[in-house]
Amino acid sequence: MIEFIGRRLAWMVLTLFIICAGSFFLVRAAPGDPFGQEMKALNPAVKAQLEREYRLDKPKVTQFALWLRDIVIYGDFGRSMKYRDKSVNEIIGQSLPRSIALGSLALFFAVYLGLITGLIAGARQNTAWDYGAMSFAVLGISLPSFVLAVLLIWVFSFTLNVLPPAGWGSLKQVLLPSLALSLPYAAYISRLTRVGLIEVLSNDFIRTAEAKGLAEHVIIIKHALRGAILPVVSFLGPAAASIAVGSLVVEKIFFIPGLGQFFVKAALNRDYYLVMGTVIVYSTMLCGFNLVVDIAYVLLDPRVNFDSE
Amino acid sequence: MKQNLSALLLFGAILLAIFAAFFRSSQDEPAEFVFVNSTEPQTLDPAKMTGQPEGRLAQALFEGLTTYHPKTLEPLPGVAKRWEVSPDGRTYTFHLRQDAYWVRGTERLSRVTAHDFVYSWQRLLNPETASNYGYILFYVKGTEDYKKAESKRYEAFVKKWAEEDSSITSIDSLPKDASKVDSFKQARAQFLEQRQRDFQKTVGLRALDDDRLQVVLRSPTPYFLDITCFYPLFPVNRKCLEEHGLFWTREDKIVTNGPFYLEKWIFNDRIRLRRSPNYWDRDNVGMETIDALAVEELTTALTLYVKKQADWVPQLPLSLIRGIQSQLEDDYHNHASLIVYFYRCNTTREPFKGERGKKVRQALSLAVNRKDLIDNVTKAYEQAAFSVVPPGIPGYSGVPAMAHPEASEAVKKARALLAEAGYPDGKGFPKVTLLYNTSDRHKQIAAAIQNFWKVNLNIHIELTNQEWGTYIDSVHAMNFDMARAGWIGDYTDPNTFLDMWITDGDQNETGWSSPIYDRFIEYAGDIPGTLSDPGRRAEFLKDLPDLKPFVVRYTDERKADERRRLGAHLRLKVLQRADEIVADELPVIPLFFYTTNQLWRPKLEGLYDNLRDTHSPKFFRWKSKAKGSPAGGSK
Repeated sequence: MIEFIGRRLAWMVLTLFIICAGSFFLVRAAPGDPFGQEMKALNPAVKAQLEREYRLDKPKVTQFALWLRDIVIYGDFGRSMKYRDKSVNEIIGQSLPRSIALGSLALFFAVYLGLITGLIAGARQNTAWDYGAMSFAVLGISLPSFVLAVLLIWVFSFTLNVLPPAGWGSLKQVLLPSLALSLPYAAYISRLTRVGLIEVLSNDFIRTAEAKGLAEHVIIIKHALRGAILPVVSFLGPAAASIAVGSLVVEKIFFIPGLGQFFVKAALNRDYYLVMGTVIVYSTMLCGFNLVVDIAYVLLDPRVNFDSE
Repeated sequence: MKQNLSALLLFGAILLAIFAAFFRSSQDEPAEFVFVNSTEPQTLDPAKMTGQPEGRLAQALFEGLTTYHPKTLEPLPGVAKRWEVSPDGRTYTFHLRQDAYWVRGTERLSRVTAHDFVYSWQRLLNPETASNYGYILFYVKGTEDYKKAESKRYEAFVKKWAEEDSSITSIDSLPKDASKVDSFKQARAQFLEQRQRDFQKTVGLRALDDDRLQVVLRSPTPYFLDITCFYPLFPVNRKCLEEHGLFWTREDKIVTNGPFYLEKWIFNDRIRLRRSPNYWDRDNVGMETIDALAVEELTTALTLYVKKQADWVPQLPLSLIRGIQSQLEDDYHNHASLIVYFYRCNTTREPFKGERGKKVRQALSLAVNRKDLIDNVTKAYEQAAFSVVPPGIPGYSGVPAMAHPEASEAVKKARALLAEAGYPDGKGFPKVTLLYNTSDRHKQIAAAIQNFWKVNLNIHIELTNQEWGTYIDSVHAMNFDMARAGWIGDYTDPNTFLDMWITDGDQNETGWSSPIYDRFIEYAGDIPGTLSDPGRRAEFLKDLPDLKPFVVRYTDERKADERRRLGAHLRLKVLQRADEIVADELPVIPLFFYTTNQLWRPKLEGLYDNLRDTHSPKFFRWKSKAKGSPAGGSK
C-alpha cells in the first residue's frame, strides 16, 4: 500500500507540474492586459513599472521558472495584480477555509440526501417512491444553481422568514448556501445509488439472502450497500474537490467570501498570479481526493487490490 | 451490518468535523450603518485606486485639503482650513489646520503638515508608484515635465540595476546578492537626491512651513479646488509607507487622517470603519461604525436592503428599476450623473473617413431614436445625449437644442445625408462591425441600435463582442469600425469630457483630428494667458469673432475678482464651442447620459444625489440622532 501511495504521489507531482505549466502559458497567451483600466488608457511609464513589478517584462519561460522557484523555495505564490494590496497566499488563506467549511457541509447534505433517496428509489423500483425521488433528482441535476439558490431564498428567507438571505458568519447563514450547493450533487448521487442498488439486487447472493428470509433492510444495508455505492465513491473524488473549492454562482448570490468566485474572476481580470494560485489549489485537491477514492475503493471492493493497476 | 452503517456514519462525522474545524463564526455587533460597496476594493492606497467603491472608502479613511459638499459638491475646508488665490489665479496658498492628525486606529501619532502633502503629491507622480491618476496633478506647474523626465531617468536606473541583479524590479527592491546591496543603496541615494533637486527646480509645489502649502498652477484652473477634493490627492503617511512598503494598508499598520479609521478588513466580505476619536471634526461625524459590504451581485444587494441588512445600495439591477421605484418609492433615488455612453467611430477607416464619413456619422446619429432606446431598452431613466458633455454642470449651458428634429424629420434628414455620402438607401454601404465588451446590457443596446439603422437607413451592421481585456486592447490599437465606450468625468467641468478629443489625445481613439478644435481646447486651458498675449489674442478673435464683446469686457475690467469671473465665463463659452464641434462632427455618436439609481433609508441624512455620485460617509447620520456641536471649519 505504501508503495502504491508513493507511486501515486509521484504521478501527482508530475500531473500538477503539467497542469501548472499549461495554465501558466495559456493564461498569458490570452489577449488582454491585467492592468487595463475601466475607461482610461494606461500611461506607458505606469504600465512599464507595473510589468516590471510583476515580472511581465521577462521572457515567459523565465517568468515560469521564477514563479516555480518562489513557490518551491519560499512558498510564495506572488502578488495579486487586481488586489494590489494583497498577496495570493493571503487571498487563498482567507478564502479557502470558508469554501472548505461550506463545501464540507454541502458534501454532507449531498451524500446523505443522495444515498437515502437513491436507496429508497432503488429498493422500490418503478413505484411512486421511485418516480418521486427520480423526478427530484432530474430537477436537481437540470436546474442551474442560480435558480435553485433563488428558489431557496424565496422559500426560506422571504416566505417562511426563517433563514437570512445572504452573508457569512453565523450557522444560520451557512444552511441555505450549502443546501443550494449540495442539491445538484445529491441528485447525481441519488441516481448513481439507485442504479447501483438495482444492479446489485439482481445478483444471485441477494436471492440467497432473500431465500434465507432476511428482512429487506438487512439485505440492503448488510449485503447490497457496499456494492451499490461503489459508483458513488468514484464520483465523490472529483465532486469533493469541486464542491470544496466553492462555486462562483452560490458564492455570489449568497455573498460568501470564498475562493470559488476567483476561478472565473481572476481569469477575467487576467490576474495571472491569482489564476495560478487557484489552479494549484483546485488541481491539488482533485488529485488528492482521487487518491483517497482509489484507496477507499480497494478497501470497499474485494475484487480490487493495490497491485492491480 | 453494523460495520457498514458505522462506516457511513463515520464518513458523515468526518465531514462535520471538517466543517467545524474550518468554520469561523464571526458575529460582530451590527454596524450603525451598513452599505453595499459593490465590490472588494482593489486597494486602500489613495494614490493607486481608481474606482468608486475604493473612493467611498478613501473619503472615510483619509481627508484631502478640501472636501466635497455632500450636496452641491462645492469644495469645503478639509485639512486646509482656508486658502488664498493670487490675482492671476495661478498661485494657491493653503493654510492647514493645526488639529488634523495622523492616527493608527485610536492612537494619535503626529500632525498632518504641508510636508505630508508635498510628499504624497510627489509620490503620485513618481514612476515607482505606478499611479493611474498621476495626470490629475498636471495642472500644477512643472509636474508633467517632472513626471516625463523622472520616468526616463528611473527607467534607465532600474534597467541598469536589473541587469546586475534580476531581483531588482523597482527602486524599492534590494539586490539578492548581498555584495551588491551597499553599492545599490549608494546609487539609489544619489538617484533620489537628484530627484529631489529636479522636483524642487521644476514643480510648483512648496511647503512654506508646517502649516502653509503653496501650489503654483500651470494655468489658472477654475476647478482646481474641485480636484483637491479628489482621492488621489489625499495625503498618505510617509513613515508608515517607508516602514511597511507595499502592504502598508493592513488594518494593523495603516495610518490615516480621515473621519473614520479602519477597524477590520475581511477580504471580499466587509470593511468595518469606526469613527476616529482624534479627527478634528469628530463631533460632526454622524455614525459610530460603518460596514462596507463587498456584495457584487445586484439582486443580492437588493435582497439585503429589503431584509434591512443594508441601508444604502448605490447600484440596482436595472431590469427591476420600475418595480423598485413603485414599491420603495421613498427610498428610491434617480439622478443624472457625469457619465456618457457613446459609440466611437474609427475615422481612419471607411465609411467614416473624411467629409463623406462625417455625413455618414451624422446620418447614423440622426437615425437613432434615443427616447425610444431609453424607454424600451435601457429603462433606467437615462437622458438622451446629442453631445458628450452631460447636463447639469453649474454655469455651463451645453450645446443648444440644435439639429435634433422630431423622429420622423430626423430620419428623413438622415436618409438625405446618407445619400449625399454616396449610399442612397443604404446601397453600397460597406461592412461595418460594432464592437462592445461582453455584457447583456451592451448587447441589448447594440441590438436596438442595429435595428434603428436597419429600419431607418436600410444598412446592416454586424455586432461583435469581446471580453473586457481583449476589448480594451482592440480599442487602444484602433482595431475596430465602431466601438462602445463610456466616459466618467474626473471633475465637474465640461473640460473633462472635451480635452480628450484633441488630435492624438491619449483617449481620443477615433483618429479624429480638428485643428480648430485643438485650438479651442488650448484657449480654454489658459484664458488669461491667451488674451494677454497680443498674437494669441488676435488668433483667438479670428477663430471666435462673435466672442469679441466678452473679450473686450474682460480686457477692460480692472477689478481682479470681476475679471476672474469674466474669464471663467469666457472659458465656458469657448468650451461650449468645442462641444458644438464634437456634436456636429460626431467622431463619436453619443447615446445617453447615465443616471444613478440608488436606495437609501428615508431617515438617513447627509446622503444626497449629486452629479459625481460621490458621497463622503463623514456626513451620514440618522435623522433621530441629535447633532453634535459644530466644530467650526466646515461651513
